[in-house]
Amino acid sequence: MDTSAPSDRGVLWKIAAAAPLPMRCWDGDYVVYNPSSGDTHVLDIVTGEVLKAIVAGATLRAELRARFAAFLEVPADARLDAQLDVVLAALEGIGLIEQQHGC
Amino acid sequence: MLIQDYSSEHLTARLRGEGIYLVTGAFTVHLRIDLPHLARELGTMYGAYRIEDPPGICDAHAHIARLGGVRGLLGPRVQAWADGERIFEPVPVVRAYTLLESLLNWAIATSDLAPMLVHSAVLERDGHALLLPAASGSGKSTLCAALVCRGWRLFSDEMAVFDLVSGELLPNPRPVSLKNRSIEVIRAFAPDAHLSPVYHGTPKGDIAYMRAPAQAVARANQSARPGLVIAPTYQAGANTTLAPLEKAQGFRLLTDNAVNYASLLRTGFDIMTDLVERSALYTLTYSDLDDAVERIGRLHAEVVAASESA
Repeated sequence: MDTSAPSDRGVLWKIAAAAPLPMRCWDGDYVVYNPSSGDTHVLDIVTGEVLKAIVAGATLRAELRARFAAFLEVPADARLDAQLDVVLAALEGIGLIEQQHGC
Repeated sequence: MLIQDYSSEHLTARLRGEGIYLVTGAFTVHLRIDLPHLARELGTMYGAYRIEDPPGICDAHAHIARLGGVRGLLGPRVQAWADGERIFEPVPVVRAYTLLESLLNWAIATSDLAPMLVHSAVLERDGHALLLPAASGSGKSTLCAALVCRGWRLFSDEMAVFDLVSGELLPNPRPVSLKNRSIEVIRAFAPDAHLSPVYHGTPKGDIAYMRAPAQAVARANQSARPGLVIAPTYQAGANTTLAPLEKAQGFRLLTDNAVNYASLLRTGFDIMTDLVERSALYTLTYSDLDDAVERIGRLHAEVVAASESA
């Protein structure tokens, strides 16, 4: 049975840049360089963990949702979905990730 | 040859003629000066500096001369040229030396060497560099001058220069710029320090320059690895407070003070993150210069000891 949220189905996320993302994690803050734009971003730990998961190959939204819930130690419910949407939109907004619609 | 090896007459004539190739650390500026009094001031403040002879590649061709024509009717003024272009507003003849210092800063900032530059004083002790990144008016140069007077090696009171390959700090020891009340503060703190005359009425108020120690100039080819970053703030009446800074905060502070970080792209990121990872990062609030110097010395010793035992 598919337990993912309706919006999960068919959505894939990937790193927008063709080159690897140089990233550092210091005391819960992530610093990442975007080779496509030349910009450097300082991310909070939650946003950084989501980005790290995508870098590690977690491309399905459902997988990101599960990891996000585990990291925050909260149930994978509608509230979590809303939080994850905010994080993904933020990462997409600064050009670090982009989505692909699968079948 | 050093500038001090020339007689005043010879230096003045050479500056007026073909010029000199003045070496300040990693930078070389071809300098021509048509003003005898400025040539003498250069001789006093830059006596320990090397003149490249025969000349090689230089970072800029700089020229300072008295303005003639209509502008001259407003009072004797001097103009600076760099690579044939007029730069900076003309200044009264009596402030020509401040124009020279601005011109040398400009030459470094626009050098083809294009190292990473961060607004920061830099000093060295025991092989480890200390950075004091801060905006103008934070008390950075005063603190830098005080540390120099207590034996720290001067790299720069103004600009941290990072080698793009090694990430090491390159010395560029030049006179330390002291403004307004700092001039008397340093006179009282170090009566033996050699200060230039006070130049009144500059856009930043009164300015005097503290001559760089000859030992710092002689070692201007010896780079150092960063070890400690302290962002200073002078606050009247404040107790000396050193507070650790989280690495991400330190990274923000350093990039905020960087001159050309964004244009260096990935190289800038790598140098800056390496700097943050290898350095202890602190903020400093101070009003008592002696106490601040003593506390910085103790912290630096701890950082060096920790690094050597690691």
